[in-house]
Amino acid sequence: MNAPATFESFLLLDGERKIIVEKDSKVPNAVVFTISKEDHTLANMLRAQLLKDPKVIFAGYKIPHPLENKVILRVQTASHEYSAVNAMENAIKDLIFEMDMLEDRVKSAIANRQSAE
Amino acid sequence: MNNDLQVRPKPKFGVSDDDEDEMLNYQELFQRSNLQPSAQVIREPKIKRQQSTENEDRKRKTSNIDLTETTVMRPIIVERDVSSTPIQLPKPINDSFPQAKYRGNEDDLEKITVPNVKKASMFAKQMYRDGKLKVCQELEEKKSSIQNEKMSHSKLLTGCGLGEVTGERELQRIHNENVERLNSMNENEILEEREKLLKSLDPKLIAFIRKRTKQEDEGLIYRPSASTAQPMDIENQKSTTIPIETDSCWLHMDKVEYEKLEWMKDLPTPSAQRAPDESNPDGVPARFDFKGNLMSRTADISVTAALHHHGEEPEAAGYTLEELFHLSRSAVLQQRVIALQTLANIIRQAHTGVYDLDLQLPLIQKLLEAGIVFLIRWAMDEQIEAIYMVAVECLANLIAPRKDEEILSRTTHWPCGYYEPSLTPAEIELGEKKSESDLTDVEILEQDLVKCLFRMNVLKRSVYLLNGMKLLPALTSTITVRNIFHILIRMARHSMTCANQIFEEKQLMDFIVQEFIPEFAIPNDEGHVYGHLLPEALKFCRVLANHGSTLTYNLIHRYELHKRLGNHLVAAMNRSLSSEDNQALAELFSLWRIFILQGHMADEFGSLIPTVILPFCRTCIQQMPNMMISQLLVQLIALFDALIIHITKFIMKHRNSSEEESNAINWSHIDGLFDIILTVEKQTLIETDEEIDLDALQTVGLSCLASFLIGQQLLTINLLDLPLKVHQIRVQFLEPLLRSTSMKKLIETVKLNTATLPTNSTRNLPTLTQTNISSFGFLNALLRLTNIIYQIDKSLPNSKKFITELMLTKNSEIVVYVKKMLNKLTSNSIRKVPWFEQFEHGFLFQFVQILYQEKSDQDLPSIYYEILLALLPSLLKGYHFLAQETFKLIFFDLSYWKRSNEIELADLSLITNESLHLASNQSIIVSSSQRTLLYERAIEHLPSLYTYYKNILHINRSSVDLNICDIHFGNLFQSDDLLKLNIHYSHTLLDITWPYGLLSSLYTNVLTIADENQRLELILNSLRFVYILEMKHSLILYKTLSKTTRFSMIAGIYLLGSEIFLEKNIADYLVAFLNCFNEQNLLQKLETKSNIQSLMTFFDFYRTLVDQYEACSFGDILYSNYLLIPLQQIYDNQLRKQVWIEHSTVLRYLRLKPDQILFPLEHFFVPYENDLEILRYYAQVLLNGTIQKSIQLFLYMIAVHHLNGFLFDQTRTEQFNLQRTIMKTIQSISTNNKILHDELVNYKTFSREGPVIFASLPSIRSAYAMLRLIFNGICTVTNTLLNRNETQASTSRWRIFRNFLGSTMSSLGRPLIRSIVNNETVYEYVNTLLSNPTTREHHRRANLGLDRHSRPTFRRRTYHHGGIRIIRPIIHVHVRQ
Repeated sequence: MNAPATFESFLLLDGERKIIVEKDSKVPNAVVFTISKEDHTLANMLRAQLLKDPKVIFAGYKIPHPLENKVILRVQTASHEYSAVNAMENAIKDLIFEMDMLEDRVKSAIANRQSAE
Repeated sequence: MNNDLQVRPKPKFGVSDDDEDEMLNYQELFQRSNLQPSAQVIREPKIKRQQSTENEDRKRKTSNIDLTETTVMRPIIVERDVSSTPIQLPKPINDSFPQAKYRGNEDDLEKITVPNVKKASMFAKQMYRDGKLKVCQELEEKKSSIQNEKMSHSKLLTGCGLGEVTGERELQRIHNENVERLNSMNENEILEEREKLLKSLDPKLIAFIRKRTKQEDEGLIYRPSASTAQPMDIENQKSTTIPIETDSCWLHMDKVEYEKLEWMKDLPTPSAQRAPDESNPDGVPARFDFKGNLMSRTADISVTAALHHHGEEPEAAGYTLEELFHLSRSAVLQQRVIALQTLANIIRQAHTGVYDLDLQLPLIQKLLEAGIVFLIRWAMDEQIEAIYMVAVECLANLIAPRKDEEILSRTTHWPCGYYEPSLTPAEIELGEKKSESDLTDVEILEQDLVKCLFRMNVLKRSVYLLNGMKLLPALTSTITVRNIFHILIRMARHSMTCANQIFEEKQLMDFIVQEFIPEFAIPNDEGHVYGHLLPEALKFCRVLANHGSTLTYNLIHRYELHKRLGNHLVAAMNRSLSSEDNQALAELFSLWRIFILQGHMADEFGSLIPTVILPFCRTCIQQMPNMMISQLLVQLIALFDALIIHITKFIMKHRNSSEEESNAINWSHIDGLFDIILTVEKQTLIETDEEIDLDALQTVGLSCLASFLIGQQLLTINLLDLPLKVHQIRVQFLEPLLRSTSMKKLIETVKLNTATLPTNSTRNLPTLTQTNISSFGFLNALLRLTNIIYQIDKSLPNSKKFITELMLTKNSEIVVYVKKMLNKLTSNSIRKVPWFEQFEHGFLFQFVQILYQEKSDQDLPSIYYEILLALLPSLLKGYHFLAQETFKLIFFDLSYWKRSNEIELADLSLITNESLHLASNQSIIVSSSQRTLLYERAIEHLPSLYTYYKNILHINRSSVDLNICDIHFGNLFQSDDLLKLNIHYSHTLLDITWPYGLLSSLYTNVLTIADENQRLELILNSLRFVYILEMKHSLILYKTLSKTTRFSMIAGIYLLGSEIFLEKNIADYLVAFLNCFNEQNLLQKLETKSNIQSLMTFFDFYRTLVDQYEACSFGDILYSNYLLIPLQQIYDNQLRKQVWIEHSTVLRYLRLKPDQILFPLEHFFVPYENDLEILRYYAQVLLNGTIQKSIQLFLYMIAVHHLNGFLFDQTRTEQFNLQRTIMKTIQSISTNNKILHDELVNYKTFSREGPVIFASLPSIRSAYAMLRLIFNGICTVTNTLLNRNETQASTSRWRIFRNFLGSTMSSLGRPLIRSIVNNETVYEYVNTLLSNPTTREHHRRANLGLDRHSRPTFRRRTYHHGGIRIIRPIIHVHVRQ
């Protein structure tokens, strides 16, 4: 009855920003990303990718409340030369690349299969 | 002999069974006498036949039947020879009907009386008239006279009641039988029987018999000589227990069926032992007598007590509960009444607690479970008075223990005694049902008995019964009416909802007011309760009124109670005081007091004071030492007390408003009361000869005087007069009282009087059971007055020190009591607070407060602070003022907090306003001086802590602050609409975790504070106070709270926000706490399987902690430390799994080095991990590089340590598979990750710096490795050999090789081989070889598998060589010859 509308979980509201980047004042080289309208699907993937980066010393996320459709991702890097935003960019690039590769491989596998038949 | 035979069996009256004895007698006589049978085959003489029929008829009509010759039946039936019988024609007659037979005039018969027979039958009379009866009687007389000559007469039996004729004969027969029986017994047996009889018979009866025997025959006791005793028949021995003798003459009766005759036996003597019962092997069912006393099974109870019955155990006296339940549903009214009556008595006794020691299970609870409520309710529905009256009594006894009410009524006038308990059980759990109305009666009953009563229409039935009993005589109905009121009172005590429900039952309320609180009292006619003022009815109104001002208002105005009560009061004052009126009057005062406390009817009472009350008081004072009067005065002075409070409150409220209410009550009304009260109190000090308990009067006087002084001081009326009054009180009353001997006695017994928990309270029916009344009400009142006096005259506490002198003498019992109380208060974390303990709380507070004022230079011992702190969680709801005052006293006394008991005070110059920066990312070890510094810092915040904790008290209340009046008058100054004089009987004001303030509500998200700063401040405040307590080694933390709770409450700070722990201030405290805990070794003593008090389970808590760590810890060292604590080996492996398996990402941030860990490392390493799943994960994270030595050194060390231990452990067979797999993988990585491989194999021990490694492989392990190599070689060879065919296998070279193998293996153990050799076939082969080294058939047995019995036994031995553990198996290898 009073359930939130289904689109709320993926449609940005007017004026809402997809991602907010804040520097954490208390921890060196740390950035807090608040990503709206996302959940574990993206956040877990990003975290896993970030943790593969040897220069990233912390990457963790949490969903503050199940009904708030946002993810708070905290990233800390080892030095200020390579900032958390850089690490994030790299992680995203890598992920996209990985996805593309996955797509290619799936397609080629299907093609192989079809040609074999 | 012949005569005997010819005697006709005597006529019998009524239906009597055939007398067998007689029949047999005759039969025997007949056989012996060889008489001719009376029936013979004869030819009937012809002459007879020729007789005229007419004559015959006549003859028959009046035939004189010869009794001696009559035979009932002819033995031989012969057909009559009718051949020669002439056939006659029927005789012609004139009448149409045969002539009626004549039996003489029946009227005549009635007049005839047969001598010696009271009521002769018609037949007998006829016989008598005809002169035939004489024959029979003569015979009888003759016979009996013969017998009389022969036999002795029974002395005892008269036979009256048996009838004249039968009686005599029967009597003789019984006597004969007795004599015969006596003859057959020997002397001992007779004496035994006699003893038995004497026991079983009513002593009165025995005395009567003895007297009678003596009268008739002095000293003649028939006793057979020993020689006449018959030898006992050994075969029939069994039958001696049953008084049955068989006779062969009876057809099919020669066998005695003993099992059917069991009932004829004597009762076995009752014994404590009983046939074992499956349901309860130890213990016997409890039996009760009619008064509800528990019956002893072994006691010899006479059967005349009527307690023996045909139950399960007829020999045991008394009734079990089951039997009573059974009887209470009997069809016989009397049985039902008796059963219910007995149950009522049992319940009454059970509530007093007399059974507690004797019974295994709580009786009341068992009764309730058995459904006694329904039983009673059914009985209440019956129409017969006897039964519903008993049922009402039973219900009243069940739900309203008399003792509870009695003690409650004796504590109402104590300070704060106006609080009445609302006896509400725990909230009803609905289970799967949606609302309460969906629950069945039984379900409700299980949770809440009183609610169930409402459901079962007890109210409606009560009206009906009250109405119905109106017509009954006064004596029968009075008790039941009272019982109904007891039930109603208890129902009203349940809760406000229930009180309202009763009040809305208009019919009931109308009836009660109309009948029991009538407008005018009618002159009493023999104690009828209807139409008179009934004390119970007034009490019922009082209990209703306690539930709040609104209900009180409605009650007064619907029934115009002010008029009714006023009338009665005036009438009673003018009457001489009888005891009955006295009680009603006392209740009336009591009711009026509650009305005034609620703010009603004060004006009415005020107007009565000068005209009625004061003269009454004067008469009372004159009669003074008098029990009855003093009871009245107690209530009256309590009423004055209420009036003073009301007026103070009223004037305070209207002081600011401009309008002047002239007719309203004001201080002048009560100014005169002071002298009256003081005079009364002076009277109580007069020593009297008779023992009159004046404690109550003194108590109420003390508190009333205190209220008076407070009122005058608050209102600033006649302030000049005040010191004078104080002086008056001191000199005339207080000081003499303090000096009195009874005072000393009282203080000596104080420690015995502490309140105890109710024993009979059940979940659905809470009770207050208290056995004795304590003296704390009096002490409380005394201390209150002293306190007030000290406040008025500030110089007094320094000069006089009343209380110190009185109570703190050498060997003072009060100090002993305080110590005991401290133990009690901190004994158990889930302690329930007994209702009557509240007075002790008040006492303790007042006591400490006074001591605080009286102390001059030396400090108060810490125990008094400790007890106040311990007191707080025990305070009942409603004692806000006490809690607030306690906080004030504690928080503002810096002398206590600054006192150095164990805390070395830091150099004060070090205190600066800068942050201490105790927590840094480098080290988290904090020196004690730094911690003391933090302590000093925290103490500076005490005033703000006071505000914080005070606000916690009021968090659920509308009014935030209590004003001064509240404090003095115990919270009575709330706004009128909210005022309730009922508080829940066991709900406490503060939770046991109160030092943590609002932290626990933050954890559960009850409290949402959006503002970050506010939240920080709140957390800091809690941390400060807990830290202070922690540093003080406070008992309330140590004893009432579990270690788990203490740890989790602090660790839980991390859950309160993502960045809270980054705040420097908070981090300081977190570090300091960790150090504190570490010093107390608390970190190794958590109970990880328990619950955090008033929160969740520790496991859940830890999971959220790990979640939070994963999301936003930034790998903080302090946080990591907190996180690692539950990972120690001493704790549950589920917790380790949480981190190592479920949250394995966390492992990446736990970049701790061993030297960054505050607490001892050993607990992470000892004992070895033996959970295979965790070990597998250790291997996994090591091998896939999640944990690297350079980054997560500590975790790395843990994993390597446990894996190493596991790999070289040979004690468990089930782990060989895993060992082998891991070993194989390690071998495979030995080329590309040499370090890991070496460390796993060469690991020696752990240290703060990192893992210590053997420079070279230790001998035992190298031997192990060598063996592995050799066996690998052997395996390859064997494998190839095995693959060859049979003929080749039997060659001599093969045999040599096999022998070599056998001898090598036999020096090792099979499991060892199994752990090394990872080829199943080879293993099996070797195994067979070992068990049978010489046989040639080895390969056939290869598949038989491992022989369990031939396994070598291992003894586990642990050697410590520089921290390394070696397990050396002792191997017994059996080689067959």
